[in-house]
Amino acid sequence: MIEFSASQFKSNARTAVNDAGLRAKIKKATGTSLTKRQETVKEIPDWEELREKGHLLRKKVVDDLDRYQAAFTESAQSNGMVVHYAETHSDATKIIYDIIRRQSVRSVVKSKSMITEELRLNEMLEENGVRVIETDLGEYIIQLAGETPSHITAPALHKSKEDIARLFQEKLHIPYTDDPEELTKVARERLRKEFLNAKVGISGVNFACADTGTITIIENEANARLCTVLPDVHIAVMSVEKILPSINDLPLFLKLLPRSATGQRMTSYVSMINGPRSQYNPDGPRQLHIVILDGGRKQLAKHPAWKESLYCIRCGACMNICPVYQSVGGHAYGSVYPGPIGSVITPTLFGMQEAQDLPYASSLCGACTDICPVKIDLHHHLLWERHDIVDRGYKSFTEKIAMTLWRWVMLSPSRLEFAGRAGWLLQKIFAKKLPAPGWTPQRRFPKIARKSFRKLIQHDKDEYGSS
Amino acid sequence: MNTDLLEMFTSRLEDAGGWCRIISSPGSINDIIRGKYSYEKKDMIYAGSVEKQLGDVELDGIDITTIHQNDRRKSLVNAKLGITGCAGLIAETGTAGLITSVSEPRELSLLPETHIVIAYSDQLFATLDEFLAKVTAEYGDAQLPSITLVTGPSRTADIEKKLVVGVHGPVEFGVVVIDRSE
Ligand code: SF4
Repeated sequence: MIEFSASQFKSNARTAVNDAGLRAKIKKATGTSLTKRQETVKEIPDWEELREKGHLLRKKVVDDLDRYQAAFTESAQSNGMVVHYAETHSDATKIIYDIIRRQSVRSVVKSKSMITEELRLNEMLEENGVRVIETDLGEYIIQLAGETPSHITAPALHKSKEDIARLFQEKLHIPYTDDPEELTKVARERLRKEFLNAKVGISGVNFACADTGTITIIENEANARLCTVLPDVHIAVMSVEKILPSINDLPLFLKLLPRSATGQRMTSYVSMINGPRSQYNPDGPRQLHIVILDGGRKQLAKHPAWKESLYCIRCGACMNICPVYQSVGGHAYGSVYPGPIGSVITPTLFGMQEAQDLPYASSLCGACTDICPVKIDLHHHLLWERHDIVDRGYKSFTEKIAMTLWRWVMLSPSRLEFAGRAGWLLQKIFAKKLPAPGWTPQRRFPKIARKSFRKLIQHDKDEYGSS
Repeated sequence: MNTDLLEMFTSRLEDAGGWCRIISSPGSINDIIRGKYSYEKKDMIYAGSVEKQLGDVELDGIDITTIHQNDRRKSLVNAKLGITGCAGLIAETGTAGLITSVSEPRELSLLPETHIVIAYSDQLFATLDEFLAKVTAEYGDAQLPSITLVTGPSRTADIEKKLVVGVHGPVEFGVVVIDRSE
């Protein structure tokens, strides 16, 4: 069983890496998304330019969060939405619970939202006697299993159809079937009833437009439409950096996001919600509440380098392409946000000490940076965070000694030469089993050459002359 | 009529799992629907505003505005087909852009198992940018109603990335384009 805490990354990763079944499932899922992405990105000749534009627009908002928050709030209010601001996670859950309590309901329907995962909203509402019904198929599956999402856009990616078949058999008391169509049909029937009875629907927000007060929700299953159109009360939960300057910026991000996430040119549905039921909107909920969470983002936005991680539009592409994610899966990270972006923001948003192993969960290959639709320099962020971890003195005494020694050796050619020869000799004596704790159990120690490269070159020059 | 754009729209909508039929006059709409689905008249509900635009052609089914407000949801839950108009089609992605109105509430395109959009060839836009620019210009400073972009039927790939069509929303989605170029 994997522990859910970012401080357990090393042991979680070890468990996950040894689970060949898990690795196969992740490889298959991430591979499918990447192939599709490749195809639809190819269709856009100015993709690189669009990434740059996306980056700059996100920067504009993050550099000026207070102003954009005020503008969005004003527009949303004039559309008849009720806007709440929550500085902390617990403020946000309290606001949400209060809205639900006023409706005196015992259950709510909910569509996918990473912010509500971050808030641990379901747990808190259940403690207060409110049943939360997850309606996205992937979320429904992991809720039945009592687990948490392992990917931000494909939450049940770690489950095979046989896993899901057994789960449905046991929890929903249906005959065993591992046919995805049948399983989907079962979920559709069960959840239809819940949608029709629901008085309160909770959703996330993909983009909030400051000029028109529009909240945009992107999805394929139509569960978010049902959650936001049918109930009397809709609560949309977003973090403050989700704002875009204008509704005219939406087309750009709707080009970048679905293609990067699933390789679709457009998701089946994009809901651009402009207010509750009114003379302008003849249908939809009577009340529309928007809960805007800061949760440490405004502080992070002040950091000259780290603010960049707030540009993220949560497409999940960096997870799909990451060799570390592909090997360990999402749960090993022990954070709501796995993969490269998770390794970047978990330490800066939720605590560097607790998550100090995550910036090391990377080979620094840079594939994440290359794929990110808003050009976040992910792998450099991981490097900078490693510096920070060392500066804060979180590294062990032996590691510090080892690194100081390494530096001392590397700074002088003669010391390096000597170290090479000493290493070769030691390896001979210990029959290649030169022990290096924390290193050799997982990896083979490289064979040290008898003569250094420099020596070989020198030798050749002496023998054949330089040419 | 811009045939290239219409071709692109059709093929991209098909990629997303929807269908598209292009007709030269509205007269054949009922036949197209009857040819594809065997729904009874009482199971088909349409937006009244759409029928008005069709001139003499009467759509098979029930005009949603003739159903009492309190009974609408129940009727739509039981309905098999919802027919709406749209504010524009987007070629680049095979998308129909719907704007909420009294005769076209969002439930009409959401609850029945099949959703059909009736559009005109001159409503075709190349990109989403163009479509949104037109909509926002039209409303100016007035408040925008909610907008829904629909690209194919509801779908999921949450189980082993296998595509399954028809999750919580419509199982089938089609667009009938009436050529209005002459
Ligand atoms: S960091 Fe970039 S690639 Fe990763 S989820 Fe965010 S937007 Fe997507």
